[in-house]
Amino acid sequence: MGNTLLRWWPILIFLVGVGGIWIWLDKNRLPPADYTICNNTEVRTLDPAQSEGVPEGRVLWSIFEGLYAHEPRTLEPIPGVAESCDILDDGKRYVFHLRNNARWSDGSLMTAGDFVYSMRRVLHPLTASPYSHELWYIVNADRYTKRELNVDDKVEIELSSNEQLPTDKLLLHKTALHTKNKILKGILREIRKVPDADKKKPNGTPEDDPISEYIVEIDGKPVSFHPTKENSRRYTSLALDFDLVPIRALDDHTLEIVLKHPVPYFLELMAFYPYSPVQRECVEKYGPDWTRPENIVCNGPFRLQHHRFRERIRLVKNEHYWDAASVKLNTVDFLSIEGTSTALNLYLTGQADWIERVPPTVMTELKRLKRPDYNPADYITTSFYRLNVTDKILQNKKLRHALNMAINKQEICETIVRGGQQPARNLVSTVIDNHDPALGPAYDPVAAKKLYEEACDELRAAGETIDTEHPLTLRLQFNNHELHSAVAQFIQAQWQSHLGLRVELNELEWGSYLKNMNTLEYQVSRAGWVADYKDPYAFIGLFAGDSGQNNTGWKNERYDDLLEKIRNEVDVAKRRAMLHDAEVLLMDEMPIIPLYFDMSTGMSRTYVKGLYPNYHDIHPLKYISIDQDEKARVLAEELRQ
Amino acid sequence: MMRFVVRRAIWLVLTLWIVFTISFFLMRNTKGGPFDGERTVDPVIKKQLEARYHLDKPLWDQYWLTIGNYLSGDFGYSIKMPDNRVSYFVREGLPISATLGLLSLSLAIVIGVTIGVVAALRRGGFVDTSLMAVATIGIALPNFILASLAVLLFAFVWHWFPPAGWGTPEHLILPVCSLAAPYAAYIARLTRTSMLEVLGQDYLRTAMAKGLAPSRIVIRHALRGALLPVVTYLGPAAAGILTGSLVIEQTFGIPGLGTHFVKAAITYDYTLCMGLVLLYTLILYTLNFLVDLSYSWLDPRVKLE
Repeated sequence: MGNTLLRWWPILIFLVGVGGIWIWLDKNRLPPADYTICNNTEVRTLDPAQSEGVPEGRVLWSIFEGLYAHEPRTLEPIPGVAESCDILDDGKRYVFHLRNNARWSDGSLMTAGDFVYSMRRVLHPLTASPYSHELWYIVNADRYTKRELNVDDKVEIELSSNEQLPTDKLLLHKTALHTKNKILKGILREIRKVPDADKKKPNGTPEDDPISEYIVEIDGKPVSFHPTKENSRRYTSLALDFDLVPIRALDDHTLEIVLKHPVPYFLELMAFYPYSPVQRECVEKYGPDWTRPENIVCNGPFRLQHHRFRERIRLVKNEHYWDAASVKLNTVDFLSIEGTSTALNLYLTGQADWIERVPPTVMTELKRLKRPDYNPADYITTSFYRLNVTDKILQNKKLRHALNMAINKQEICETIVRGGQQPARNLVSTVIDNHDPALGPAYDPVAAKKLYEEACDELRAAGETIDTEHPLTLRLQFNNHELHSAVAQFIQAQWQSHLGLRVELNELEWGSYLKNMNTLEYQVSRAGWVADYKDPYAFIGLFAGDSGQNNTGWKNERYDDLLEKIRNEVDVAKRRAMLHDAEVLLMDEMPIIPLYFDMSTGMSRTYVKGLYPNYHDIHPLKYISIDQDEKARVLAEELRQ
Repeated sequence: MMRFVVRRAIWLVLTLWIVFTISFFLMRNTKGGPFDGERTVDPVIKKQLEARYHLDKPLWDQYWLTIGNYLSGDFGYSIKMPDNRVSYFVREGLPISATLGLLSLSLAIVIGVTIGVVAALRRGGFVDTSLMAVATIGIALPNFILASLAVLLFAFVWHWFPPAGWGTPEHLILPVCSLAAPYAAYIARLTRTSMLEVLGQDYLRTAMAKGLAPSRIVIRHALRGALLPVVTYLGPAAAGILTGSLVIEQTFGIPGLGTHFVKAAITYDYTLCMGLVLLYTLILYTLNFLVDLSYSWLDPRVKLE
C-alpha cells in the first residue's frame, strides 16, 4: 500500500496543493456585492488631491462628498456638505454654509476648516496636484502653487519638525503641511541667485542653481533660507503667505472663497472630486499610506472596506454619512477590468451590473438586438486632429482647410466608430447647449482639391519642391489603439485619393505619442478632449497661446484677447457671443480638424434603478438601487438561453 | 556541492546588478517619462514631482542613490500609483501569480508526463497517434486563443465557470488550464521521445530479464532517465509560464504581478518596474538553479562541478 502511494507522489503532491489552494481561496471568499461595476483600469491613487482619472473619480465621488454634489440626471451641482451658498460681488465671492450634521466616517463633525485644509493641500506646491490649476481662479492661488514670489511679498516658511534632515527627505510630500511643522512668517526682501559650481556655461562661468537663496525679514531681522548653503536655514516649503489666498473659515460652518473673476461653473468645480475634503489628522498620522482601507477616513455615502490591486475595490455604506437614510446599497464592488471584451463577458454572465463601454465590434449587433440595457448617450468629448502650425508645410492655412474638407466624417462615424457618434464641424461638444457653435467648412472633396492646389502653388513659391516625383508628404501620429488606427487609415486613404497627398502613419505607444505632441515633434496628431465642466470655455480655453493643452504651436493675439474678455465678462449674452466669436476664429485658422463628438457606450442592467444616461457618464451611487425581483428574472432568463 | 551553491550565489548578485544597470539606463533613455500626461503638467509642478522621486538629479546620482536604497531594502513608492509601496504590489500580486504559475506548471507536468509515457508505451497505435495529434495542436495554439475558446465554452455555453475575476476556487480553473495546456503538450512530446530512447537501452533490457514488474520498470527505471530532458525544459517552461501569465492574467482579469509589470513598463513607472524586473530575475535564476540541482538527483552521472 505504502509503495503504491509512493509511486504516485507527484500526483499526490499536486492534489494536496490544489486542495490547499482551494480551501484557502474558499475561506477568503467575499460574498457578492449588491452592485458591481467594471471600473476600467486600476485607480492610480485614492488621494483626491493627487487623482485625475475617470476610474479614480468614480470611487472618490462615492467615498467623499464635496461642498457640492451632482444631480444624477442633469449633473447640475446640488448642495453636498454645503447646505447653501451665497454668491456675492458679481459672482466673485462665494460664501458656503455647511450642514451642521455633516460627519467624517469616524463620527467626528466636519468644519469649514477641513475644507480650507483640503483646498490648501491641493494648492500646496509640494502636493503637485494635477488639478490645482482649476482652483487658480481664486485670488493669489496660482502664485501660491507656482511659488511666484516678488520682493516685498508676505511669505510663509514651513520648517520641518526635524531641520537636520537632508534636503532629499525634506522634499517628500508627507512632511509638507504638517501640524508639527514650525511656521515662520515674514517679508521677502531679496532673492539671490546661487551659482552652481557643477554646471558651467560655455564661457566658463558657473550656471545659476535653479534653487535661489531667499532673504526674509522676520521680526525685523533678515534670515537666509537655502537648502544647502552654509549659514542658511533649511526649510520644507517657502511660498506666498496663505493668508493672501482668500479661502477662509469665517466660523465652523461658514466658508468664504474669493475669485479673481466670475466663474460661471464654479459650483460645478466644487462638486469635482479632486476638491473633496480630507481629514487632516488621518493624512498626518499615516502619511502616504492614509488611503489604505484600514486607515482612510472619508465623508461620502460609502467607505472603503477592501482594496486589492487590479482586482477590486469594495465599498460599504457609511453609517455616519449625513444622508445615510437615502443610501440604498450596502456593498458595491468596483472591478478593475481593462479589457472591454472581458468586461462584456462579466456583464453578460451576470457578474457585473454596469460596464463603461463595449467593444466597437459588437455595437452594431447590440443595436440590432435592441437591448434595453444598451443606451448610448452624448458624452462631453470631441475627437479631433491637431495640426502643428509651426511645421513648414502646415503653416499654410489653405492646406489646413483642404485637409479638413477632404475628410468624410459622416462615414467615419457610420463605418468605423459605429456607436452613434456625430460628425463634428466645430470644437465645442454639442452636449454644451448654451453655446452657438461656429461650424467650419463641410466635406467637399472638389473644393478641397482646389484649395490644395492653391496651397501647393504657395508652397512652391516658398521654395518647396512638389511634383509627381515628390508629392507633399505628411506624417500622422496616433497612440496605439485599434480604433485610432482604423480612423487614421481611413483618413490616410481620403487624403491620398482626394488631394493626392502622401500620408505616413506613425503608430506610437502612449508615452512617445504624448512626448511628440508636447514638444511639437509631429505634423498631424490624433487627439481627444473630455471637458471637466459643462461650459464652452472648457474647450475654447484649450487653445490659448499659453495653455499647456494647446500643443499645436498656434498662438493668436486676437483669440487670447477674447479669452481674457470672456473670463471677466459678467453678462451672460455677451459672454456667449464672445465664445462664439472665439470659435469662429479657431475654425477659420484651423489649427485642429474636428472629427466627431463622442458617445458613452456602456451598458447598465435594467434592474439597476436610479441610474440615468448623462453627458459625463457620472452616476452617483447614492441614488442607485437594485430591483431584486427583476434581477432574478432577467438573469434567469438570460442564462437559460 | 557547497562550492556550486556559493558560486551560483555570487553569480546571482552579479546578474541582479547587471540586470539592474541595463534596465536602469534603458528606462531613463526611452522617450517620454512618468509625468507626461494628456494634460500637460505645469512645469513648476513637474519639477516638484521629479524632485520627489529624485528624477531631477544627474543620472549617475540617481543610479547610486537607487542602489543605496535597494541595498537598505527600500524599494520606494510606485510613481504612477503613489499611495502604494512597491512592496505592497509584490505582497499582493506574488501569491496570486505564484498560485497560478505553480498550479499550471504542476498540471502541465502531471498531464504531460502521463500522456508522454502512455503514448510511448503504445508507440504507433491509435492511442499514440491521437494523443500526439492533440499535443501538436496544443503547442500550435497560442494560449490567448485557447483562453477565449475556454471562456466561450465553459462560461457562455455551459455556465460552469465564471468568465473572469479572482477570489474563489472556480475562478482558478479556466486560467490554470489555458496556461498549462501548451506546456503540457510540449512536455508530452518530450517525454514520449526520450521515453522511447530510454526503453531501447541495455539497462532496461536487463531489468526486464530479471523479471521485474512492468510498472516498476517504467516508473522506477525508464521514467527517471527519460525525465532529464523534461527537467531541462522546466527552466524555460517556468520562464514561459511566468511571462505567458501576462496574457492569461489580462484575459481573465487576474490581479497578479504580470499585469503590474506590463503596466509599469508602458507607463514609465520606474520604481515599480525596476522592483518587478529584479523580482523576475531572482525567480528565474532560482528556478534554473533548482533545475540544475535536480539533474544530479535524477541522473547520478551528472556532476555539479
